Amino acid sequence: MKRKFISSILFALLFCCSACNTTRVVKPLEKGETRIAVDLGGPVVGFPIPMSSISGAYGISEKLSVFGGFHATTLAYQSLQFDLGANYSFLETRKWQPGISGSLILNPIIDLRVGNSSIFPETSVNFYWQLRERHVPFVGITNWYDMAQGAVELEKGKLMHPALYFGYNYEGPKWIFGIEAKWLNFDKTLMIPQVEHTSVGGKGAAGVYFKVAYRIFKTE
Amino acid sequence: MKFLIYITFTAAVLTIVGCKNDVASVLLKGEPIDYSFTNVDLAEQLVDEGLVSQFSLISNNAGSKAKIEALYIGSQDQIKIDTVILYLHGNSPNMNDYWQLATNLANIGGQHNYGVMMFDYRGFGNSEGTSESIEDLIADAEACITWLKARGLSKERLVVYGYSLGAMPAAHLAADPSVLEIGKVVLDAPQTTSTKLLQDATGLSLSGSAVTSFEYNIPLVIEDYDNYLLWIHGTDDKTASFENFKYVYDRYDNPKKSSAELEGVGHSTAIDMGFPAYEKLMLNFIRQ
Repeated sequence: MKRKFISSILFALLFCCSACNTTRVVKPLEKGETRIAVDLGGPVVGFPIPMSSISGAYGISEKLSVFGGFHATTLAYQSLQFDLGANYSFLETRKWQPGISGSLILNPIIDLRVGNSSIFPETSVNFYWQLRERHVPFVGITNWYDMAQGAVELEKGKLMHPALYFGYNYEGPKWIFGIEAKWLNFDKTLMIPQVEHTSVGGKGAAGVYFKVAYRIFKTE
Repeated sequence: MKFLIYITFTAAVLTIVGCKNDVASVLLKGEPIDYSFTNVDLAEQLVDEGLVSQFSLISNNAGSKAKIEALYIGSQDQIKIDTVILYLHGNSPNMNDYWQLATNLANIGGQHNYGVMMFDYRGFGNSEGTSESIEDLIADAEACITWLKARGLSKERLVVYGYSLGAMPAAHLAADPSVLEIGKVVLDAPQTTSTKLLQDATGLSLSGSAVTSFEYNIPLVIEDYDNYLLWIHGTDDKTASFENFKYVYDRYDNPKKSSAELEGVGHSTAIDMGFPAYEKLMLNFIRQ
């Protein structure tokens, strides 16, 4: 059992390298709003593995937010992984019409053992609703781009690494609580020794993530 | 807000405390056990229990010494004339899990036809120390070869058999032997490289060093090996990719290579193919 748990941690760690957190910004922040968040969660191997990341976001305008995150668990294994991005609101939600926002993100991963570094650009599109002010369900799709796909050994790698997700955020005046499900790498069959992970039709891996965030508003 | 600060602080502390973690240090770790090597533990291929001996050896990896536990099946007096199979087991916690596989090898071509030696890598079973690098695993295998050589084994009668995890040190050892040249090596359900393992998990072009300093590269090292090699792999292996090693095998330029590509078989190749087929395969390989 202990061995299986350890293998599961490894599995989650490996997946932590790609889209292993809740969506940083679904609905744009209010202008001047600062948000600090902690994410927990990961791929499901009978239970969601509690991988962690810490992030911050800031609302530059009503439409544009910037954010950054840092992956604590990856660092515990001597790789520095963080993400930096911007989210732009294309369409605001009205009643049942979804709001639409998109993010451009950079995901650098620096291997602290030998100094190798990789950077993976990412784009995502979110569709969200705001119900009774505080309830924000959403769906979306995100994609990591592997610009060094030729470095994949034995065969040609792939440029696109997509994930689908849906979730729900409770947005209180000070606190935000979120839960999100992701289907990572849904176009690929993934293999991790000694661990049976939850996939859909044998493709990709399913993950569950939780978020707690605190909102700070600039006082005029 | 205090709650968030607390969580952030805790995460930071855990990160700093665990900052020297390595995937290898948690995965390459067995469990202490009461060894049991008797016929009661076997479903088939029984042995003469009087010819089963368990003992300790000292393994030395460049000064890093560890007492490892080993097993010999067969008459030690016959080592100077018998063919001996050194079995490098997979990533289960200890030798008990491979007892049946070892007796199968001992009884290929008749009961105790071949001597079989098996051992627990450092950190596995009751072997002391920790396995942190491919060099640790190789050193432990070399300690066994040294023990066999001291009892009269010569290079033409040594077969090194690496199963799953064991295929990593087996391939490295075959390519660069320090005690005895290896004339025959079996790679059963092997992985390929530490980087490919990570890439298969993420699909991304990440280096294996992103999560571990445990590096192995079977495709690279077997280029330096030109003696007999048998590759065994099930096409439905969910632990070590068949397709990955097929890619390597097809590009491996060695006229003495052969393969058993087992349709519909998973990671437990030797058990799943059944003893008669396994016996025939191994006899053909060893007797060539």
